[in-house]
Amino acid sequence: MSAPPLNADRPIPAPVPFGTVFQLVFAQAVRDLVRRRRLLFIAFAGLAPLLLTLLWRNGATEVLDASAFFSNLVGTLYLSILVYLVGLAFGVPTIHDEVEGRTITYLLTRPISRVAVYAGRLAAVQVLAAVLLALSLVLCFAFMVVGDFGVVDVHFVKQYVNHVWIVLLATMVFTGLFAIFGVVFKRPLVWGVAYAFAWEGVVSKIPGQMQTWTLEFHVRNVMMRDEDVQGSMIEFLRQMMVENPDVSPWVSTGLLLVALVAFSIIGGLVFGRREYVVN
Amino acid sequence: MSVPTTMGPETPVMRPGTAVLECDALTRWYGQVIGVNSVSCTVHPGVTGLLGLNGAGKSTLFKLMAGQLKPSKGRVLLLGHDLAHDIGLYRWIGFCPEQDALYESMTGREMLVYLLRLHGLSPREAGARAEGALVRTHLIDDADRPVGGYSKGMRQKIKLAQAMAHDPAVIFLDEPFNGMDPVSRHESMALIRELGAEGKCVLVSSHILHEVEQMTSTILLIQNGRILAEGNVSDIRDLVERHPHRIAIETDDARALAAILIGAEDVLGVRVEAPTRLIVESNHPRLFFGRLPEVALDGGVPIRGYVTEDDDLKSLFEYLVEDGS
Amino acid sequence: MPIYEQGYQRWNGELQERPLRWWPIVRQGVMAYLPQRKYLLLLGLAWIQKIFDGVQVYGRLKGGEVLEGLLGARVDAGMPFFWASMDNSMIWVVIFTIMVGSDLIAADRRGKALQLYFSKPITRNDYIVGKIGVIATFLLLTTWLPILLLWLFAVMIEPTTAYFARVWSVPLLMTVYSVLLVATAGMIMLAVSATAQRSVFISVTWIVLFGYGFVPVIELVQAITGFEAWSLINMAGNLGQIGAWWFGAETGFDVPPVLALGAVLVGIVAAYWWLRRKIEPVEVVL
Repeated sequence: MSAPPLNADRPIPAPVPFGTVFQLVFAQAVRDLVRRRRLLFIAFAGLAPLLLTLLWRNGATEVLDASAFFSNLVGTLYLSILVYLVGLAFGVPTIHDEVEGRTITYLLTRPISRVAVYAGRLAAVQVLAAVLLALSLVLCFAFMVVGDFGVVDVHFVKQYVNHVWIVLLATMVFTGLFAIFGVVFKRPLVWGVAYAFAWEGVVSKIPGQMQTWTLEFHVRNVMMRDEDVQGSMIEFLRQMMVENPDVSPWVSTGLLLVALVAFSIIGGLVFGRREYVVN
Repeated sequence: MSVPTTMGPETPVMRPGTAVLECDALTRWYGQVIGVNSVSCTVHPGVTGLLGLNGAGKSTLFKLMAGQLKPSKGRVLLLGHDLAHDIGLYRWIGFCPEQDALYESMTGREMLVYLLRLHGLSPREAGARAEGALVRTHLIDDADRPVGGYSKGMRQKIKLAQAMAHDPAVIFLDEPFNGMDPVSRHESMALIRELGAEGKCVLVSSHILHEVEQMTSTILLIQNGRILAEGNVSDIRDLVERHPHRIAIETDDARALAAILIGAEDVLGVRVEAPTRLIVESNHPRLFFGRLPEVALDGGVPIRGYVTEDDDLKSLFEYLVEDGS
Repeated sequence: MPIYEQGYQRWNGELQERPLRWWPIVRQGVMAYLPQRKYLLLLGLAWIQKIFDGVQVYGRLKGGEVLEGLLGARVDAGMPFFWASMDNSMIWVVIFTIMVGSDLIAADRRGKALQLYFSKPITRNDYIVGKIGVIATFLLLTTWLPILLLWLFAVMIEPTTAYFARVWSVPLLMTVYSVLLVATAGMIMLAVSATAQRSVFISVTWIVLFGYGFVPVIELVQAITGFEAWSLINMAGNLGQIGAWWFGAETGFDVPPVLALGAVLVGIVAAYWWLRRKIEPVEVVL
């Protein structure tokens, strides 16, 4: 058997295919996240809406009907707080976990695309974040109707589906955005909190065009798509937004979807170019 | 299960003398500070020790060679290919980091399989290679325990295992013996020597000189961001003329022997340390040792033993660093 | 001839009689952050907000009639104005508490530095005071100090006894309120920092416990249950109640402010108790 050719004749091995890396990193990230305390923490946070739902079932169904209650729950708790908390808790550590844990070295010394690594990890955190909140929302619905299906009607079911998908979309968008913070900043959480409270929290409430620069405006704009619900958070929002820009909810939906994709691409590209000096 | 010990089909075969890693005017600066300053050197198959004081640029050079850092100027060639231009080259690289960083929730086997799959190996091949690496690093009995429960020595071994499991051509080991007990240290050193003997290029960065000495006599010494010395320890030692070799001789009559030796051209100086111990300084130790038996016989002064006091890496290191700073 | 190389020399200084042992902790903590550009930038932004308030003060005190004509409402730079300025600084309280406080004790636990601290003659209270002093420095720089200067500015440009009679208590009330704010935000943050190790979770847990931004949720709970006292679990809301009460502004919730004060004090004590439990120089692992 002849000797193998010398090095110069040996072709450079191809990098591991994008799909393979994505799949491996995604699966590993999911397994890792499921074992971490972070999940319990978020699951615990997801209990808060369930507690409120129980309180409502326990004597406030006459004060607020199902639609009004659920709209308020989504508007005040899910969209104003939980989406940000989950986005920060899952999004920021997307790559930051590997950097802080210094295991990033193993990924950077393998023949794999960094963009694939980022995409795999981001997909894992987005899916888990969305699943957790989806579970919370489903349980809320269950708590609302258990023992008394008359509490809800067809309009409510429509509204419920609309609100659930908006919460999930918002969760994934914010997780993607905060993942970029995790790649770009050394103290990403601080910038994430500053963004969430100072920018989204304040600017989204300033009457005029400026609020269209916030994600929260577009999320609420999509939520208001359901014209049929009365006496709810939506009415309140409508009254509040009298002087605000008239943006079609479909435009807002499109913008959020574009943001979801754009954040993923930007994060991957930034991670791909960044140098990590692990000491 | 059979343990693969031969190189896989993708790993390049390297003859002795092949230039595996070439640094070509490699420079890296951090803001205003130069970490590595126009370093050009070549690393061949076998074990090479990368030595340097803290802050000498050793870590920076190591990371540049392993492709973890981009050079500000210059380039690193791996088997003639520019490392910066093709991530596929990482298939031929194994890296054992200094930091104690592992995937704590995974078992040793899971971690190896995961990292091997990221090299493009199939699940079956990854499983087989992981098994092989675990056997070679004596971790097979603890393979299915979470890494978070490993001792310090086991953690070092699993890092070593992931660096070699995919049968790379070049293996970078950054302080590989940190925290290891003497037995593990001995086993790991033997493994590294084996890897070098298999024709792999193993680059060991360490500041524990006697450990490096036990694995190799080929060194790369860096100081102030520049290469101070490159090659075989003894050859380098011979070139350090400012520091003549010190040879300690045990004899029955040190003074008598001193009187005989002082006249020779290859002896720069003698010092009687004790009635039976003589220190000779010579710039030509081979010549001196060649003459010594004849001198002892002719002079009638018995010689009980002799040792070259500073022909070790530590002394060489001290001389070179002192001269280079 | 001067001696350049003296080698090791014994220390001939004097020990302080009653040393402020927490002071080096404060100084070291503050100097670790303050020189960094991002902190200076954020402090600058916080002060810019107060400069705008200063312009408002001038406008309200000097151009009162003009503004009244324009806005159709009486404008003033009385006690409620200073409270509003303080209330608007809450975002900086959140930002700086998280930035400075989240790793204060967690980093010491991760790096096993607690053993080093307590091998020195300091008590756990010295350690706690030192750490809270770091948070206090930044919070006071963004709240108490600029508002005091704002008050001085207002009094200088309107040096009338009538105006002074209305706002004389601002420095005192602002000082007491700031101490309460620092104690609440700081103690909760230290308690959480002593419990977790990752700054992400410390920060998120602190936001939940402090309750910044949770007012709509509290209002929803109140609407559902008809029980107003739910607002007492929201520390940020309680501080708002207390401040509004002291400065004569409209309070947000219907709960008596003195109950809010009680809830805040309970929160501080509970956080302190938890913190004392968690700071252990030696961890016994069985």
